[in-house]
Amino acid sequence: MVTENNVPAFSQFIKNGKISALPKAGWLCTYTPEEIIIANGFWPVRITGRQKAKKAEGYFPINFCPFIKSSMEDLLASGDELSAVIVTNSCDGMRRFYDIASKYIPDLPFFMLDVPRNQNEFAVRYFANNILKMSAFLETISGRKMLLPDLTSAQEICNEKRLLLKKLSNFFRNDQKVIGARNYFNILITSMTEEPGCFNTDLRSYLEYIESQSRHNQETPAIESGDVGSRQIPEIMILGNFIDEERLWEIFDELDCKISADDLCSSSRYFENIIQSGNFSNIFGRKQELPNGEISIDRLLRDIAVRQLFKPQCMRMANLNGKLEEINKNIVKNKIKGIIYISQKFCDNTLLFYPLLREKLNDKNIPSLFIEIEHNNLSVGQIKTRIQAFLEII
Amino acid sequence: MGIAENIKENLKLKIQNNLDRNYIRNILRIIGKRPVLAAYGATFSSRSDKYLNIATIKSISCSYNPKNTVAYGSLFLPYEMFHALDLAPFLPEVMGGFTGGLGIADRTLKEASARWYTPDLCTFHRSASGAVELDIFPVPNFLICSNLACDAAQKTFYMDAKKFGLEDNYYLIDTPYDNDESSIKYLAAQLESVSVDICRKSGKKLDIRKFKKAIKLSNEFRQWAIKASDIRKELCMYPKGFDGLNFILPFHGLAGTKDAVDVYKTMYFELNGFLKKQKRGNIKNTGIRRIGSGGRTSVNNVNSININNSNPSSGNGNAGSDKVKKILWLHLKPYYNNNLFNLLENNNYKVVFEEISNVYWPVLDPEKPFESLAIKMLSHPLNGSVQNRVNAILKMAKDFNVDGVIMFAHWGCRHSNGGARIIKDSLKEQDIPMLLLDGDCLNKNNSSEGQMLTRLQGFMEIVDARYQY
Repeated sequence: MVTENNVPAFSQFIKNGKISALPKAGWLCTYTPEEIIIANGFWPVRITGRQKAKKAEGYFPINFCPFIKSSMEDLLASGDELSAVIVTNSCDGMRRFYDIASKYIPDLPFFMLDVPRNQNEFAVRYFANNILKMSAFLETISGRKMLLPDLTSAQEICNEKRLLLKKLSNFFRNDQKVIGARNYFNILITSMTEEPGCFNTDLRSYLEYIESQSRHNQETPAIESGDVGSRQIPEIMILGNFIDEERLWEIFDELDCKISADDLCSSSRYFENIIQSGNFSNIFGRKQELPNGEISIDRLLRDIAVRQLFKPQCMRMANLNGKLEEINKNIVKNKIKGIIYISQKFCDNTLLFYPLLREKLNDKNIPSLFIEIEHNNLSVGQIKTRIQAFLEII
Repeated sequence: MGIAENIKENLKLKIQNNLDRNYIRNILRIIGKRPVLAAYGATFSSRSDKYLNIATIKSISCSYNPKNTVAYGSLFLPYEMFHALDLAPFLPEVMGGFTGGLGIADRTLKEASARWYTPDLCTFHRSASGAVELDIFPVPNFLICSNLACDAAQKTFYMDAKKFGLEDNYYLIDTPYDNDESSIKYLAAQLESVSVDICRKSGKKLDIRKFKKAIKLSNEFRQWAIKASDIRKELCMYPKGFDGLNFILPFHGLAGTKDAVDVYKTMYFELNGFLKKQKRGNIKNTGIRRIGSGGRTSVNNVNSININNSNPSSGNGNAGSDKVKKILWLHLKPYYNNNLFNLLENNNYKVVFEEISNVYWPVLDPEKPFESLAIKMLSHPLNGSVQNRVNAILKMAKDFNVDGVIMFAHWGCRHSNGGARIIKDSLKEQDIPMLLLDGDCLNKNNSSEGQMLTRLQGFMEIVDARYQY
């Protein structure tokens, strides 16, 4: 695939991916701190539900998250590819996924990371303690202890990835046709599955290439944001949960619209916010530094906990008003004209948030389109028609 | 139809035709008056039922009284805290269940759908949300919820808070996954913080003595509930209309009050009376399970008189069907009129215990109220891993010596139904058959009674076949 201005897709640009010998640890939710996985000597691989659920159907009821069923299918087929899996209690479905997977795939070690729903000092300290337990779990598998240099190095790798993805996101928002929606969302998924150090190198090269292409094309008359000639391209926001559907993103490439903001488990909620030294102190006004100014693992864990809990929220978090404010800021900053709300079927947290959001959007006169999809079972034609009609409204 | 049933039906019709908070308040004001309540209570043949209905009406009346400070609460919160804070509790999920029994669930669910609540969501929450939007439920002063046992309350309560302009009086008590020291500390801190904040907003000081009193009463209620459960381990004949699945409100919402003590004390004495009658009549529940059906060959060999129900057996020709088969019921039941329990009764099946009546928590320490209430929440089998629930179910199945387990797979209840496979397999390892009955507790349009009855019949045939004379 080649986007406009002849920029190749990332997957074509990086033809010879490096192979890593590191053992892999699977993870599912963006509240999982990858830095802990890396610091313990593992390659963090997000489980993305690539396989269509078949055997997995026998383990779960019919009206159950299709993404979880596909993820179970992935694990059933994974053999000894993974050394461990980290699950979080992000929702009722995930809790049961942990139970089912750990019982019926007994040779694969699982860990349940308890993620708080509140964002206060109690919650941060509690979460930091849980992250330490997660590290202890990985240590028993790796057979070695996580040291401070491991953690600081892992933190740097993860922060770099987040900054690079943020840069990519800015490129995408400024000139969607150069990157392409399908390419953009594919890169995001790749960022969650490829070995982080290698990915950072590859994405850095790709971004440098795109930058150089952009400079080369600066002779072309600048296109005002949202305009093609006299025609206004609607600026929309995509909001939802874990969406990994190439054919869905292709629809956006085919239609005239601009995704000016995206808020998904598979996009900005993964990379927004970096870990900053003193996060905990800054937010809660508590001095953490040791007398001689050294940092400690405990302090780093608290900073990681803060980063995780204060990044763009998933709809499972308690501060729903905060989430509405987050979305509102995006709407104002990016001049959003409409929101496309995409949810996996049977996702209670996301589905129950929509009535709240819709009411808020009605107050602001912003139309929204609600789309429910089934992971790995997309009705492309129907959805394209609905999105087209929605774009015509806005 | 008995007098009590007639009164209930009339009330039901009145409410159906006057779906309005003020009307409900007026009705409750009338029937909540002591003489009227006493007269209503006298119409019940079962004392347990009587006290259940009286306590329920009293509690609901309190929540509709605008002079009281009302707090919405999600089901598995420690209500000792509510009573210690002088809050009149109102449990939307439980009252959502009442909408099914009152025949108004169609309307509340329709209202929820009109407000973009997807039909894939649990009907308890959807119906409750619809009832709030229709101004049927009382106006709260506070809303307190938890993620125990599911995700839904967190959102629906927040939306209710928004409707009433009470976002600042909305509290989510975040229940940790594990039951360990750090979880107890985290949870206890939240309970204390919420209590302090509510007191501040109510213009009161936190009175730890009230907490101690509520916990002492809770311990007393717990003791009677365990005694009543112990009776049920042997009991095969029950008062007419007794249904343990109807006692959700006193068991949860009235914990920490004298009313809960009275309900369960009454239940204990009534059931104890029936047990004595059962023993005096030398009525034993005999029956020999077929050798080879898992090695369980428990035999009551004291006496050989079988309990013969006045209704004939299902006529499948198996003499084992004369024995009363004991069933453990998991989750809840359809609250609209249905024939499931008639079918069970007509075939000598008795629900001898239900998961919702299980005393899962230890004796609480009144000297450490917040820590105790945290321990109570974390002890709940529905918290954390499904293995907690499995352990509780296996213990109940063993203690009550059940012949089978029925799990009602309520539509949209993902935390429960998601664990069904593990629960069924664990029971199978103990040679206990389990029926997973798909249905909807509130929405009869989302449930096929015919299918459920057929599946139930098939299950009974399997259980019947395990007995021989």
